[in-house]
Amino acid sequence: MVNEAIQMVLLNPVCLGLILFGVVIGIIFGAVPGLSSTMAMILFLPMSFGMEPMNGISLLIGLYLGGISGGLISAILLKIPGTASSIATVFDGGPMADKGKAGEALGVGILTSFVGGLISIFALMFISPYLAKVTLAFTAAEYFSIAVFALTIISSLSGNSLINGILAGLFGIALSLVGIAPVDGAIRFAFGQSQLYGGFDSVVILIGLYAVTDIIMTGFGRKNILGTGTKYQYNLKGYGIGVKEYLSHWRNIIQSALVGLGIGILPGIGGSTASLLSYTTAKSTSKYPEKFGTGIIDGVIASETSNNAVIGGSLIPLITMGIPGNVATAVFLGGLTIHGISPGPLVFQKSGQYIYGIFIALLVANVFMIVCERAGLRFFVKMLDIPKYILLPIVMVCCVIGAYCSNFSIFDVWCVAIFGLIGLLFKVLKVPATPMIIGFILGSMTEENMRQALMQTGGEWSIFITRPISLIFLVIAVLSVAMTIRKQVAKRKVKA
Amino acid sequence: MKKQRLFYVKIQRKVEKWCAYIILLLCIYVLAFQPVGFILDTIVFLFLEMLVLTPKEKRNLPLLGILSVATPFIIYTLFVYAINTPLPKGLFGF
Repeated sequence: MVNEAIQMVLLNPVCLGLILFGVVIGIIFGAVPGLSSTMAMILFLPMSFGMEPMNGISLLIGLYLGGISGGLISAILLKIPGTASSIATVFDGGPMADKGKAGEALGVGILTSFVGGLISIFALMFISPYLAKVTLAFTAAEYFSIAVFALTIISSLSGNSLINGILAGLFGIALSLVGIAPVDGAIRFAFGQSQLYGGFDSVVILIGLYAVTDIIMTGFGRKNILGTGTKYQYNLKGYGIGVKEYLSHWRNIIQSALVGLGIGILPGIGGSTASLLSYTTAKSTSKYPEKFGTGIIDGVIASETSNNAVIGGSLIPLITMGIPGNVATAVFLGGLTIHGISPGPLVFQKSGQYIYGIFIALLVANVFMIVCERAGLRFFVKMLDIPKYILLPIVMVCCVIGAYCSNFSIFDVWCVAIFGLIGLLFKVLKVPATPMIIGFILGSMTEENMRQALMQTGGEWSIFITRPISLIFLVIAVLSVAMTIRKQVAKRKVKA
Repeated sequence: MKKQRLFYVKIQRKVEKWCAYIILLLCIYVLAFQPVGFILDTIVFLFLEMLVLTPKEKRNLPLLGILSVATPFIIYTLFVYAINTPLPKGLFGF
């Protein structure tokens, strides 16, 4: 079976060509804010139907991998996450670019994306049955506690004012309540507007808060728009980081990959949560947490390793149990089904060669990704040389298109402008915008799982602390908040 | 004392002219997206926006003009013909 798989993928130039095509297109989709790998997969899905099974599947794999990985390019260069999974890359990648280290940030981001993807692909290949069983231990109560823990990131990302950060986070959670409620289907905060029934789209909020606000702020600093004239010479050798230095971050790399793998395995949680969660974890376990956010490579490593690790992780429940963990894998499932491959416990007996083909295609796509992105690095960095007053309006247009294309709804486009203005208001009021997005993304996960868990127990709240995994996450959450408060109090004492 | 500080949020009164322009342009772009259509709307928006953002010394009108016309057409071709995603057609059918 393995031989057949090798023949279908490695020795087949058409297949290799399709993987390359998929990766390149995926990277483009990932890099443009508003377009995502999921969108790319959906667009090319019909095309994959008519191809040979392995070719079609390989194309989808290339799109998936390229799309997730491409987000780091705009996250670092434009400080706008190209894909929601690269949101935490902005936190340190952006400041690094400001300091002139964009090339290094990109280089390390690409390298660590490759490593993260590799780790998760190996996990998929060798231990997926064992990992799949882990999914069974996670019920709604555990998801709730993970979401609560993830929400504690807000406290560490609030910059100087914890109160403002919490305000923003709560506002984000409030926004996530708009629309049809989970479980009982009550319509909330729609004010009679049918377009609000579905709630807000996180991509739209991201674009509005980051891209639009950025453009408006550039206008504020109009006199300085020529300012950053120093053209940094990017003679980037290798990946901007030595092997020894990269390996010295091994703890960060391993734990971020594990976070990404875990989040990928758990259905219903996506790359954005992985990025945020691994960033927080890296920050809390680091010897110099106060440096996070100022532009250190650890932040980029944490975010990019985990979001690529989600890829392999998300394929584990898909292949072993036929459960798609996110929209991208759901599209992938469609691609598999149309070719007569039904993932699940018996897939290795029935269509084993295709599964091995998927593994090989993943490895090939990973290699293509790192080669393409590294080759294009100089070109990406040159984009920074384009004067901001030309680049930003074009980026704005692309963002608006991206917002429009996600649901083909003009309402989403209006939302981009509205959230851009909200972002502006936040900037003026010195309220950090990031907690708002975190609150929004995690709010629905928190609420939905809390209600489902309570439904299961008939309203008994103790379930969140009687189930061991849930308890662990809640305890870590409480500890993390306590430590942050302690630090803030200590800071204030020093000031006074 | 700290509580008083929290309640005193002073919004900076320095609203410069062109910031209002940027915000206004964006709102018009977004509102006109559907009725006027993608291409026209984007051409006007790009041109005006680049005009507003560009400092006076660097203003190169022909360049801005070419960019603002070429970009929407390129994007339109890519999206509508290459990947089959419709973009709003406006009053003039394109």
